[in-house]
Amino acid sequence: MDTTFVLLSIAKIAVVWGGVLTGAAILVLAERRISAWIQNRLGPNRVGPFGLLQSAADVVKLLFKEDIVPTAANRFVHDFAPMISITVALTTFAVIPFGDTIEAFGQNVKLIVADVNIGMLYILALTGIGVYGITLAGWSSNNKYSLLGGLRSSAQLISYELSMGLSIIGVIMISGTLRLDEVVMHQTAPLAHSMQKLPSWLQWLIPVAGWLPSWNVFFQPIGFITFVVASFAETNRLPFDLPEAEPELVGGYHTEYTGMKFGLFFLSEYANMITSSALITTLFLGGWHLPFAESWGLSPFALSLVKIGTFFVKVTILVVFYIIVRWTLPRFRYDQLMRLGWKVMLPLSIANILATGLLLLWWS
Amino acid sequence: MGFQISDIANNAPLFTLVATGLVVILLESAKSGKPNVSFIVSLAGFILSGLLAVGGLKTEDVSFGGMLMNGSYSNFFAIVFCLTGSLTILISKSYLERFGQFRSEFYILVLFAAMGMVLMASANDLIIIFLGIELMSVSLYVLAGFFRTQDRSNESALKYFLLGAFATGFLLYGIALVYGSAGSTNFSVIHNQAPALMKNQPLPDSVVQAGLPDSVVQAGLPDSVVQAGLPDSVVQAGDSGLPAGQAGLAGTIFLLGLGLVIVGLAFKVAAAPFHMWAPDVYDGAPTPATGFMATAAKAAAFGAFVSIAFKMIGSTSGTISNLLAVIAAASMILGNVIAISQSNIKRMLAYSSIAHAGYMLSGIAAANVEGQAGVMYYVAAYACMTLGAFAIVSILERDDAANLSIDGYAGLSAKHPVIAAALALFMFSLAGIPPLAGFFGKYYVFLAAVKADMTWLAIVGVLTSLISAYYYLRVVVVMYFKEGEAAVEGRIGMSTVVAIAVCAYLVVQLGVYP
Amino acid sequence: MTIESILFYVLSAGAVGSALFVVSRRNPVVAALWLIFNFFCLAGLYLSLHAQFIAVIQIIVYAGAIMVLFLFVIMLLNLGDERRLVEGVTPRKVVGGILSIAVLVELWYVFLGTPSIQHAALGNRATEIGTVEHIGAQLFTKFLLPFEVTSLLLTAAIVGAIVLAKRKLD
Repeated sequence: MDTTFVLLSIAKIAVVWGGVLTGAAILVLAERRISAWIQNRLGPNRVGPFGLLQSAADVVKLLFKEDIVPTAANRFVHDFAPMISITVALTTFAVIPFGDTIEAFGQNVKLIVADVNIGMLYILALTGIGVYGITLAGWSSNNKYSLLGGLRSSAQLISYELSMGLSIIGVIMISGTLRLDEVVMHQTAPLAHSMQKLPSWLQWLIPVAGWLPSWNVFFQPIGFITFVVASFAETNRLPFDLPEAEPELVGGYHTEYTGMKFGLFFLSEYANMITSSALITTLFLGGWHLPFAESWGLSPFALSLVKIGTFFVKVTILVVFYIIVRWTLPRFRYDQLMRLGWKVMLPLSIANILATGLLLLWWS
Repeated sequence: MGFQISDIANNAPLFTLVATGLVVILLESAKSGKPNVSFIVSLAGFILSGLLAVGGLKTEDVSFGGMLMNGSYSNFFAIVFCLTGSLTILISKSYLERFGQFRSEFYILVLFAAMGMVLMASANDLIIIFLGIELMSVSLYVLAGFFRTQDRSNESALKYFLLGAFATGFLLYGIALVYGSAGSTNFSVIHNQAPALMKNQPLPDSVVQAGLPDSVVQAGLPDSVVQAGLPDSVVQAGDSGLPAGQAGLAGTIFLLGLGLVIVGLAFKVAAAPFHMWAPDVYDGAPTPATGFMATAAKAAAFGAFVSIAFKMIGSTSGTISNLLAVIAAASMILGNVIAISQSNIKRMLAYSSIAHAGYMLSGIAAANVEGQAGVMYYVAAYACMTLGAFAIVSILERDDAANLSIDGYAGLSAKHPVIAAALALFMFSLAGIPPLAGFFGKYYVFLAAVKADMTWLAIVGVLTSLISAYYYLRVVVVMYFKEGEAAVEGRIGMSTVVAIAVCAYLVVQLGVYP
Repeated sequence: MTIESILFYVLSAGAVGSALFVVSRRNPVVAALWLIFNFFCLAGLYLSLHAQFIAVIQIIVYAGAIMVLFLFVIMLLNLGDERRLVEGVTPRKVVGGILSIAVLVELWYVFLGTPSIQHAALGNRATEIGTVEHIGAQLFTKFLLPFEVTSLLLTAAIVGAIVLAKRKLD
């Protein structure tokens, strides 16, 4: 554990947190602008050019607001809950590689904060912990709407965590590793490589689709869909935002929160969006990999920058997708949500594992 | 290591049960599944499994990489479980119909419990023992609470579950300590090391100094400390518990672990200091489930007990023998004495089952071949007579639990002479009157105790048997010599009658041709 | 004192302390929270033994799933202060306490009466044993039967839960 390692780690953490937090702030604005665009309105456009400083103004407002804790609330837990939420949201990113290795300060630096060999399990564990933020917030407020929100969220998150974990298993089976950087490396080969083993009556596919990168989305279409749906549920975004459900529950678990504590929940929701987009990118969309980028003849350093840019663009597209979905789909009813989770998603992801296993057996 | 096709053939009874259980679940989930279908399929599964077990009596083999031991021992127990399982199913039909609870889940749970029991009896590894016990217990907890609208049934399930989970904790801690000291959970491996561990000696063929870091050697350990390693096979297998350390410590931990394992198992067989749950649970549970618990579950726990005592510890266990003898004596005395004052027949049978657990334990405490054979014989005999008795109780039981008192059996002989005769037969057998099965069971077990120089245990057994005759025969007296209106409500189910007939036949058969 | 042993003592102290809080708190939610903390300490201990997989599974399964359900049920039942349930000191409690202390002393005697145990043979192999690959390989070869039996156990538990909890009987 030398000094460079420590310094580099700190630098990486700073980059990631800076990126995620700034991203979250921009997203809040983006969400409002996009929703306005969808609903044929203007949206916030007064603070700064095109309303770009709106988020900054919001943060200032939240910081100076009075922090109200209901009398009957459990004070400690009430304070603690938003901390859990934000901590989980900010630490999940640690195992996601946001670029290939880069030459800097005279050594190769892996662009991943914590290079552990159980990255995927780490993410699953943290999503599991994330439930507590919402559940405890709901309980500690001592408000029946909040409590309902908290209860809904714990039931929902547990239900969808299962399908989320199970849809990852398909990816693990293909890549044979739990390290997210190796998962990305595994997706960099052209698809033609693995298509060699197709039966002869399917060989014509090679010239047609062989140029594609071997991203997991092509091997795991069902896993991809279930994972994306589960991520929506895990981030409490519409159509799965029942823990908040304004018309029914006022504000759900954060009804009784004010000031920056509310801001933390808000922030962690957007940070979670970014993280789960990054995770989808890493697991299914090739992470930082850009097809043909190697053949452009760039210097290694520039190539690394391009890869980081690719990752950034992919994540942005997914995040915008999140926002558009929110403003175009209606909310589920609670029983529909549970039925979808247990009777559709779960069997589908188990069937996916079975099919993946059989295909792998036949493939090798 | 690993899986071979022969593993399935060796464990045909087990896999038949598994297949039947899964088929019944699927039948139930497909809407066409009617309880009648489940009833027939489960019965067929039990009979087929039992027949396969009879066929497998001769082949001795291990399967699943030493996890299971197949052969006459395991298949004998499998036959007992299949017999009691099918009889339970036969008894349950009319009983459940009468209470409006005729549902397939009952059969599914009985099947799953039976799987656990077969695993317990054929286990050659502590992990399998544990999993088998859990599989059996989880099913039984639910069976006890099967009448979920009845408070008695719920209370029974809750008590069984809470205390059972507590006992499992003991068992698991014991297993962990045994594993820590012997370095394996496999019976054969532990068996090799047990004698040394018991005498606080270094482990066999493993006085290895090599491979230890120098620091240990240099640390200046006392002379008595001997570096004890493990056989290579164990270390290579990837699990090593206590690779080095003081043999004395390992021995103490081993004994401690065994003690805890015995506590856990003694709970499952409802032996004396750990018997508290039995009366309430037996009383509250649906009668067929009680019968199943009292016979098959007890048989399974003894199956595991005998395996651990003979295959794992071996016959060198003086300390353990004495411990078991004390538990046995306590169970016999306590069960029989308290049973005298019971007026509820299910509670009476519960205390009687505690006493019988004591008789069987004395066979294990004897720790000789006669003891093992005696326990096996006893298990079969006990299963037949107790299940028969519970079958008759289930016929007479009514919704309000009114007909459970022994006085309610007054005048039964006049109304239903055949049933009364059958009950009398079971009671005589339970009391141990020759030439019925119960007598020979006791005879073998006590003989084993005498041979093992535990004459005092045999004397306690005989004396308490005399006490037991009082309350068993009281039932007979009430039935035959007291005026009363013992009535059976509605028709007696055909299947129950078949079950009683089979039990009665076996009690006589086992007795006359032991 | 190496960093490992410092970690060990800190984590064990946390585990023991939080376990005490679990049983002594009156508010069930707070007790549940302490239990979660306890699981984290245990996970930390597993990590320090190089058993990463077990550590993470401990978090995913216990802290992430089981305890959430625990909290869910506590909140659903709205269990308030359990002070009402507390009874005074009964003879049973006294006897139970004495017996517990006796067992504790016995265990103390057994474990402290002898020098500490050396983990010699494990050594470098520990890192290898704790990996997912190793555990997976063991589960599907040597421990295949226990693994499959576990699935039976879970099936039985599911059937049982449905029997006891299904809203209406048909």
